[in-house]
Amino acid sequence: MNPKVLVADPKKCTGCRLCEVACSVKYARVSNPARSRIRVMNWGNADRLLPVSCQHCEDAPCLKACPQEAISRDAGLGSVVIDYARCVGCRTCFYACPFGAMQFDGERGRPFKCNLCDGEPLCVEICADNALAFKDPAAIQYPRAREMARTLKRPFNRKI
Amino acid sequence: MAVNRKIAFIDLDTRHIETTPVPDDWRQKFIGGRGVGTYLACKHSQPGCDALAPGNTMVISAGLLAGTLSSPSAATCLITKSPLTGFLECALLPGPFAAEMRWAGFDHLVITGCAEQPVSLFIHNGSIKVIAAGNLKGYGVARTCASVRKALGDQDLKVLAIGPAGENLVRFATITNHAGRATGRTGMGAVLGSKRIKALSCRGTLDVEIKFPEQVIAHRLSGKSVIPETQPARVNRDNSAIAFRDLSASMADRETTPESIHRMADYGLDPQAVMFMADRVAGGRADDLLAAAEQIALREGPGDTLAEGAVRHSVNTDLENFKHPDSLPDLISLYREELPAGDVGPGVPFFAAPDRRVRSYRGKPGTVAHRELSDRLLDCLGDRTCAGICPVTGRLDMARAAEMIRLNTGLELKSGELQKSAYRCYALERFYNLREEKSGRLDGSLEFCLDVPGEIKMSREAWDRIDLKAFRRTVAQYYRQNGWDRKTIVKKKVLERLGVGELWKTIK
Repeated sequence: MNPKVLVADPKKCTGCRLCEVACSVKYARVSNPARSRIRVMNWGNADRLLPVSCQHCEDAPCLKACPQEAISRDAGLGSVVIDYARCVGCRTCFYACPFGAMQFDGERGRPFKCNLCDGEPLCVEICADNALAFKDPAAIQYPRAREMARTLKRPFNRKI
Repeated sequence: MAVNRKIAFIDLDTRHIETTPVPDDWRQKFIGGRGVGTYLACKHSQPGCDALAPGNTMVISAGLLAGTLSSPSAATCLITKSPLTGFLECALLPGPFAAEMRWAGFDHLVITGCAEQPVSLFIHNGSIKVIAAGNLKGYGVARTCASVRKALGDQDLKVLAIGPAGENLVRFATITNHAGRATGRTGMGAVLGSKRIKALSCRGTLDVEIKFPEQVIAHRLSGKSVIPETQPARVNRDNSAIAFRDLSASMADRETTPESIHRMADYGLDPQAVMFMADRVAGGRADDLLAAAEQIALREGPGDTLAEGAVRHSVNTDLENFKHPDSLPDLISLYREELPAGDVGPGVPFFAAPDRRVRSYRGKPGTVAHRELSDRLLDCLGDRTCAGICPVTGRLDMARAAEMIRLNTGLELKSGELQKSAYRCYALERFYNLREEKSGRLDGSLEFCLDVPGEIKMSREAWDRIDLKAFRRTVAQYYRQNGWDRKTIVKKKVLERLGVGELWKTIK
């Protein structure tokens, strides 16, 4: 089965940061975006917004970098997960992640990242503007392909 | 707990900054946001001082639920004496600043005095720094925000800034945030400019503890299905980055482009206020609004008197024209542009119309009072999303709001207590205005609207249905219920009953 992926739609995101707060409340039991696994990035004027979290890369740099082999791939969800029993808090994964999605909890001395909430991401559920989705990759691209096809439809639809 | 935040007293004369926790009993009395802010403004501003004098106090407040799941991007409340009206004003600035302030450890900033040179304030995890900002003088809002972020080396800083209009003390200058959202009118930018604060920047990574995390999440999710899609705080959606006014309709026939509107906002002015001033006040129709905005912001040529605001400009120039009956609608428009906080003006159309079904005014004072209190309670909570608004009636559900407060903060406040706190805020606004009032009276818009039907946005048929005698009786009843006397003045015994009687002695 093709595992689902978490995708963000920058056109829909309003930058309300509900996803950030929800994530920190769920996992850290406090409201603090610094403890969130997802972060809303913006540039200058807030018309460019994008929630960023772990991409669960196929060729994950954090997984390859971990000297303790504490990072592995969940077979069911396809997500990259941390085994805290093995983790020594060396921060190698923290430096290796090209997306800045791996974060480090200084108090507990361990990294943390998105774990897709075991298949039911809270950020997706709580987003009031449906800017986040957790879908089959095909289901995400199909509407785009359909939209593309619609724009091409007219010239091909002429009578012969 | 989510209530464990501080008040910072910033004296710009001496650059002394003092922080103190928000007293526990204030949560019950004033809740937070607009409530605490209004009390602080009453307590710390110099009675009778000019709005642009160092004695005026600017309070920047975050609501009790700002930064929680209930309202992660709540509006920031800015409370001060307005240079436009001379009365207390509460302006709401949408965007992430209030929440960031709470994550930085502060609920309220009380700014007094005046800096010698332009400065910016940097708020970060329990500390506040006053930084010299002479190099930012004359910069537009966007450039100021970018410069502050660059200077402090943090692109995620939440910034509030004023443009040249605020620096030049234009009486309706705005305070604008990094995302282009602004306080609209009321002249908050001029007050900040008078204190020589060019910008405030904030970054916080402190925890706001949530009392019942699981229940809060469940409560938020349960509300999602019933909250209309338009309810969540829209930090920004349109590409022009100007979302504080619906400009498209009113400016569609002008030679304005998103870029020119953006530049007007960059001066620290509300484009719609510029249009109003340039057209209706200066007379004629200004096609080049950007040039008008530049003149107003820099106080050049005719812009210098326009920068004084509609009523002052009219009084200074040609008051006699406004006394002509044909000009009365204009005068009302001017008045409605410059309403003090605590004035029932915005509720006038609703107030004046009899109930459609029964065609009577029975119950109207109660309904209007509920509306006034709801607005204030939402500003105290810093929440315009899900905690209180009933999606069916659009009215505030006090029980739902009380439940959201309990789950987030652990504070057990009953519906009646919330209502009383909102009423306390309303009474304090009235009190402040009574203290400042030298002539005239509040709720003047009620009087105006009784004379000119077109200005209360009603059809002629609806206007004809108004029973003026009954309406006046209803207004009197409304005042009586609230504890104002016939001259709309809040009484001493009302303040004593509300536990803020000590403020009465500040009236000279």
